[in-house]
Amino acid sequence: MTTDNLANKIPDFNSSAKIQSGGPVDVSALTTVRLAKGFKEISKVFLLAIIVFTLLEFILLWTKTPLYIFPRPTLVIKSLFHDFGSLYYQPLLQTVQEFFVGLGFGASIGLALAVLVTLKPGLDIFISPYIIIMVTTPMIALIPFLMLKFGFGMTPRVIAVALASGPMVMINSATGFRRTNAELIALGRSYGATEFQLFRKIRFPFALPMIIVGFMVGSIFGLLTAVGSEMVGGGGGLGNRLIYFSSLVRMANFGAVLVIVATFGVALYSFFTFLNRKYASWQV
Amino acid sequence: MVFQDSNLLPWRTLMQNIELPFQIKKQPVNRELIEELLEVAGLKGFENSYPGELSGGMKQRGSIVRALAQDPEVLLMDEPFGALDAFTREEMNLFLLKVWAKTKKTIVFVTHSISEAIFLSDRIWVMSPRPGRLARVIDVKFERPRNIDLQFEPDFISILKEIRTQVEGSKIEKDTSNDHR
Repeated sequence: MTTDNLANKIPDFNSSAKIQSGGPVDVSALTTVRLAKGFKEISKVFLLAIIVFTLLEFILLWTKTPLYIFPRPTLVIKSLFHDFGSLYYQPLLQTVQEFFVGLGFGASIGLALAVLVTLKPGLDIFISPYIIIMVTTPMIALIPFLMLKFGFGMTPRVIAVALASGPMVMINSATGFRRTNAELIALGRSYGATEFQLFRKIRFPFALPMIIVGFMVGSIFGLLTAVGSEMVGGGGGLGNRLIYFSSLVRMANFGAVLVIVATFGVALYSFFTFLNRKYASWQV
Repeated sequence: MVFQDSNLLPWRTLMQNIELPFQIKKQPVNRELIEELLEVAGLKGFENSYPGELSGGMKQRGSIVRALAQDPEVLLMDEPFGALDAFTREEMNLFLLKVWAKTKKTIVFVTHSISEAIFLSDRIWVMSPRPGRLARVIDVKFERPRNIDLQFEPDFISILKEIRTQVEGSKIEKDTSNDHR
C-alpha cells in the first residue's frame, strides 16, 4: 500500500483544529509568573529586599560614595516622602493622564480593529502589515515629528502612547477571537445565534484572557512610550523630571522619580494580573 | 443538537450553560423542565459547578440536558459518547434510554459502535464509508425498557453480526474499487 493511499484513509485533523498555541505575540507567560503566596513566602521576599537595600546603604556609606555617583536608598526614600507634593505629584499626574488617555484611545481602536478583522477575515491582510510595523517600531521615534504638528503639550505624547499600546491590544485580541473553538461557534449557530450574539456570548468571553494580556503588554508599551517621549520632548511629566534631575545631578530626586515610575509599572502589571485571575480563572 | 464533545462553555456554570440557548433565543428559562431533566441526569446539586469541575460523563449529560431543555422535536446526537470510557458509555446509554422513556423524543443518534446502535434504537440506518451512502435499514424490535444484559441475547448478537458483515463488506468493496483506479 502506498503512502498516498494511506493518506487518503486517515482523516485530516489539521483542517479543523488550526491554531492551538502561539499567536503572533504570545505573552501569556507574563500572567503565569510564579510570585510569592501567603504570609510566610511574602515576608521572606521582603526580608531579602530589606537586607539587600540595607547592605547597599552601608556599602555606600562605607565607601563614602558621593551622591552624584549613586544615591543612598534612605536619601531616595526621604526625598520621596518629603518632596512628593512639591516635586513629584504634578509630573506624575501628567504622565498618568497622558498614559490613560493614550491607552484609552489606542485600546478602543485596537479592540475595534480586532473585531473588524474577525468578522471580515479578508481585511486581515491589509491591516496586519501596518500593525506589525507599529508593534516593531518604537513609537518614541515619532515624537519629534508629532511635536512639529502638535507642539509641546500632551497631544503628541497621547498619540504616541495610543500608537504604541493600540496595536498590542489589537494583535492579542484578534488572536484570542480567532482561536475560539469552532465547536462552540457551531453550538451557538445551532441555536440560531446572530453574529453579534456569537461575539458577545462566545467569542468575547473566550478571548478575554488574551485581551487582558494584550492590555497588559499594551500598557507596558504605553508607559514606556509616555516616559520616553517626555524625556525626548520636554514639557513636564515624569520622564522630563528624570532628565531634569540628572542634569542637575540631584540623584536623590532622580532615584525617587525612578521609584515612582517603577511603582506605576508594577501597579499596572498587578492590576491586569488581578483581572486575569478574576475573569479568566476557568482557563487553568 | 448534542456534539461529540460536551461543548459546555468553560466560563459558565452548568446552570448558566443550560440557560445559554434561552438567552440566545431571548426566551424565558423553563425552570421546571430543567429541574426535572437535571434530576434524571443525576446532576442535582451541580448546577453551580463549572465544567472543569465535572467528569466527562457529567459534562456530556449536562449537554444533553441543555439540548432537551429547549424541548426540541428531534434530538440530534453526533457520536455523543465517543469520547467516554466503556463503563461511562454504558451508563450514558442507560441514561439516554431513561430520557427517551420520559420524553419520547425522536432521537437521531450517530455512532460507530454497532452494539450501541442496536441497544438504543428502534431503527438503524447503516451507512457505507466514503462515499457515505445509505447501505441498509434495519428495524430493531427488542422490548422496552431494555437493560444492559440485552447485549448477550442471541438475537442481539445475530443482528450485531449481520451489521458487522454489512459494514465490512462495503469496506472491502471500496478497497477493491480503489485498486482498480
